[in-house]
Amino acid sequence: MTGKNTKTQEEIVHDLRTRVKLEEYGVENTQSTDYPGTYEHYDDSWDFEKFKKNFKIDIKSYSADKMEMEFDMIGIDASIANSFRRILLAEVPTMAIEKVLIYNNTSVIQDEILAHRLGLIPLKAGPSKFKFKLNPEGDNNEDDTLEYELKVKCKMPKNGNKEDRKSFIDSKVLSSHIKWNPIGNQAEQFKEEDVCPVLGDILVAKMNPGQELDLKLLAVKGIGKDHAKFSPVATAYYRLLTEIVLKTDFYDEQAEKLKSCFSPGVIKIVEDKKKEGRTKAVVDNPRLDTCSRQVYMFDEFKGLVEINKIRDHFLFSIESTGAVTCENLMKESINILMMKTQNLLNEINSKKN
Amino acid sequence: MNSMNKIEIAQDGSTDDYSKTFTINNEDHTLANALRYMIMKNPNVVFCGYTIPHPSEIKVNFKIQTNKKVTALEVLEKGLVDLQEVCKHVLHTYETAVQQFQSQQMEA
Amino acid sequence: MIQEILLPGHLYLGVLAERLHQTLIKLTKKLRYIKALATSKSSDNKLCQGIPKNMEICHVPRIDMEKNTYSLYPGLYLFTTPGRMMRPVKNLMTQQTEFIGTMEQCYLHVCVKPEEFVENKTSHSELYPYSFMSVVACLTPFSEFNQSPRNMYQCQMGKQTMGTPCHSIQNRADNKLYRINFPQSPIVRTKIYDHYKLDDYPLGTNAIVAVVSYSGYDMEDAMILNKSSFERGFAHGMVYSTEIVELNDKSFGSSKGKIFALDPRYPKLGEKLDKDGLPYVGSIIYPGDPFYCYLDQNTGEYRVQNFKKLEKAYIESIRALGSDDGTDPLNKVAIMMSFNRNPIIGDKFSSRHGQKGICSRIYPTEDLPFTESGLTPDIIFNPHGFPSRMTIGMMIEFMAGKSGAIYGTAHDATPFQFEGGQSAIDYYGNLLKKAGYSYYGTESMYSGIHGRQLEVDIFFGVVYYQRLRHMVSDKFQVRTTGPIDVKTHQPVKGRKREGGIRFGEMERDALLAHGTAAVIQDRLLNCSDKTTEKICTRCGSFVSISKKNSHLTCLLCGKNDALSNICIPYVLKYLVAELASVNIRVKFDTTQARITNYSVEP
Repeated sequence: MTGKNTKTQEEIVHDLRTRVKLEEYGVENTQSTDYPGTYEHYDDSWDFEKFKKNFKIDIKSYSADKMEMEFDMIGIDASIANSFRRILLAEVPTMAIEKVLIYNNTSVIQDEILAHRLGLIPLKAGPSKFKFKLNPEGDNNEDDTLEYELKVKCKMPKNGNKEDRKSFIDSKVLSSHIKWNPIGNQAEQFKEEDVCPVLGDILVAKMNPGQELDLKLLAVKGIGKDHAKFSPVATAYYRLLTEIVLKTDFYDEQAEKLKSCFSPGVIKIVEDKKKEGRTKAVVDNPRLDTCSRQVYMFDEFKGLVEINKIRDHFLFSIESTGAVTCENLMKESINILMMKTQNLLNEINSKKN
Repeated sequence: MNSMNKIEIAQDGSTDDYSKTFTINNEDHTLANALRYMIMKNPNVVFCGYTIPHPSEIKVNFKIQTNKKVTALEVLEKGLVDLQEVCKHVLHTYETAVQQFQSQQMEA
Repeated sequence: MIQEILLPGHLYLGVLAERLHQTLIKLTKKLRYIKALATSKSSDNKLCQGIPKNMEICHVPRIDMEKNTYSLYPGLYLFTTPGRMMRPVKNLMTQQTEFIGTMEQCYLHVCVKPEEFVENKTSHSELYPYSFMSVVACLTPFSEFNQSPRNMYQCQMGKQTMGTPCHSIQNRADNKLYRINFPQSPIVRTKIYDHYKLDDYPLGTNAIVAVVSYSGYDMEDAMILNKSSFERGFAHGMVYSTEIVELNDKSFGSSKGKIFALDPRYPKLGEKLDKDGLPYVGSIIYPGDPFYCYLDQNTGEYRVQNFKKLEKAYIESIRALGSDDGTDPLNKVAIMMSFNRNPIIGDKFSSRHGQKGICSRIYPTEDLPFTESGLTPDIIFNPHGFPSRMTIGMMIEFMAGKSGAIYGTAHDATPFQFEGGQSAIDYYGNLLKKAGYSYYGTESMYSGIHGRQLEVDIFFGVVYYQRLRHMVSDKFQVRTTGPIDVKTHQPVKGRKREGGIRFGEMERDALLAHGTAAVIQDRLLNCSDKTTEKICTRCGSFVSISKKNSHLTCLLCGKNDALSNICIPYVLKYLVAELASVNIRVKFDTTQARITNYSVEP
């Protein structure tokens, strides 16, 4: 969109209300100012219908294994989007190994380091089917604990060569060696594939012939706030959608130079319809921009290119570790925020009575 | 289990119902910031803000001051209800969008 | 004038100096040439037989032509003894590497760059521009961009890092060894790093660092750690310590004949200690748990010793020490234990540029700022650490580490590479630009607390951080009341003995300056060695009071009617006793203090 160089009062106010400006050395206008009374002639008080009309969610990509998802959330404020992000990182529960009972460990890895590594292995078990274990020293019940065992012995093959490490049997302890031991009636509810580690080729330890591991692992439900091993996402983050405004037209070499300033795919060179043989730069896909702001390094573009971010357009990206699918993660996150508000409301009501 | 109350009224020198500081236990920026935004959208609110007095203690001091047409407690409740509505709508929109996307994938 | 030619110990030839000054120079040159031939591969040349390649040829001229001075011991010195320090330089005459020694070097002109070549004077050139630096100094990346004291601090701190001290820890019984659990190879490294194969002994972690004043907890060189990184193993370390318990040592009493054995009367001990009275290998020992149990064969008595250290330990191995043929009774063991030292608030970290700081807070990930690509930093570094310290090398390491991580290569940070030509910033900036990041190494980040974008671009990159071995668990001491010294009744010194911290003379002066009399009395009397003693008011002494016929009497006066109580520091009594031992009598005036009425002047 090519704009004029001077803006009307309305356009300036609209920019203030909806756009974050990326300048050469900083970012301006990041605050959301749409509270009632800030702007004359604007009624910013909370209107649920207006919110419902403007709010959109657009799923852009969802991988086939359901582990990665990218979607757009339009029309919501940063504080609420941030709450969802924080809950995704820290408060959506998963199952992870918490206690390791070591019966025998003759490998070179120390007990506590081995236990630490085992705790970080993501487990496929769906946390919604389990309860939180209220008493950490209590019994291992079927509804709050999963029991696994890891028994590996490294042996030398018959006629084996001491120098040939690759020929050793079971010298690498992988997460696929972790076997599930059902407690109580878990065998009816789950199958091995439902509760095993997400990936089977995670290297836990390395051993030499004669060394062995004999461990019993107990997994419980927890949240990321307690320990990072319970976090269900590899990462969850968002960024704002970039908007690139070209205030004048750029042709030919300038257009090429402008294109090279941005990530590939952001600026497209098209034939100029008004004049034969001339090419023009047109903004094609600003989603791909990485905000490197290289365009400000050239004096000829300063002032003629505006890079903005649309303040209420969030490009969410969620990468699950495998325990919970991405769509369920987001649903859980929204539910947890609702539960928090409900808890507080209940408290207030009970206090009033 | 927890002998601490979830929400308490803190002493901040205010005498009437239109200006109060609530101390919410076991909460952090996740709920407090979202709630602050919803309450600020209320045209009867003159001031709304929150602090976390010390990061080692998990509590939030939430201050609301109104223009005397409604009490601070009512504003807090309305904010919570509004936030719940937002969450419900977001959840509904999200589920619809996922279904739409998956059906598009099926067709393709 | 005689100029001597000296070989070790022997005066070889004394020759007239005036005629032979030039000849000596020629002789030196020739000897050096032959030595160079000996150094090169073609050393079977008959000409260089008898001239070893590590011979030092030092010609001290009688008159220094330039400075017009006479030197003290002119001569041609030739050294061939073993055990001299020598270093390689390039001989410009033969274009070969030659080894020169310490005395020789003073009289040679060795140039560093070809531009420094002086006709008829320069005979050698340095092999590398960084040859003048030590091994630790060469390991600092981009050290030519740092202020030199910072490089010196790094040389010192590199020796204090928790790294990988040796590969044979299981077979050794060192008194104290520090080790890092999950070390990484640095992305930004110098040539020396690979030359000395330091990858076998890694000593730090590549951390993602953001330079931002974020929470106010990072002032004065403190830094904030990311809780999730810490929980995933960042900078985890451990300390190995060995305790040698020798039962026949004097500290256990004078009788011999003690051996380690488990007390059969208490089966509960068997849960913690093995059948030989020593702890199970691999078990966890908490402070206060039974540590070992021994039997005194002479008296038939079993004694259990508890674990005295303040933190829990894992028993790594127990070695029975004794004679070679193994016939000694079990009375000396070496118990090797390991302590967990994961980073807590107060532990010291440093980058490789003399930027040390302690961890002030472990911040939850969701509160930390995140970038456009979703990264949260492992460490937050305060930008105020740069202006006065001027460690630009660290800033370049930020960019080099970032581009190395993006492209998957290790970058060469050997000093003196970027001389003339492209600057380091330009080189790494262009690499970042090609990858889609900002040329200046900054990124625009979002706050984790309120979700909006931060208004400033944050300098973000990858830096190799070392964990130093000064940990708060080894240093903190606390005491309310505790052990006191026998002579002076004052609190003892020392962290191990639960001692107090000295409130010294200068601290006393500070309190006096404030005029806080009650605090002085509290610190120096009440909390220290306050006692109540009896004093004889007639003769004014309190060391002369003793019990006679079950009454307290003053031995000097012979009577007991003038005794009264007085509140003094005990060390006063000790002083009076010491003075009495050298025949000095200290007499105290115990008449009542006169009370004066102060009137207000009109």
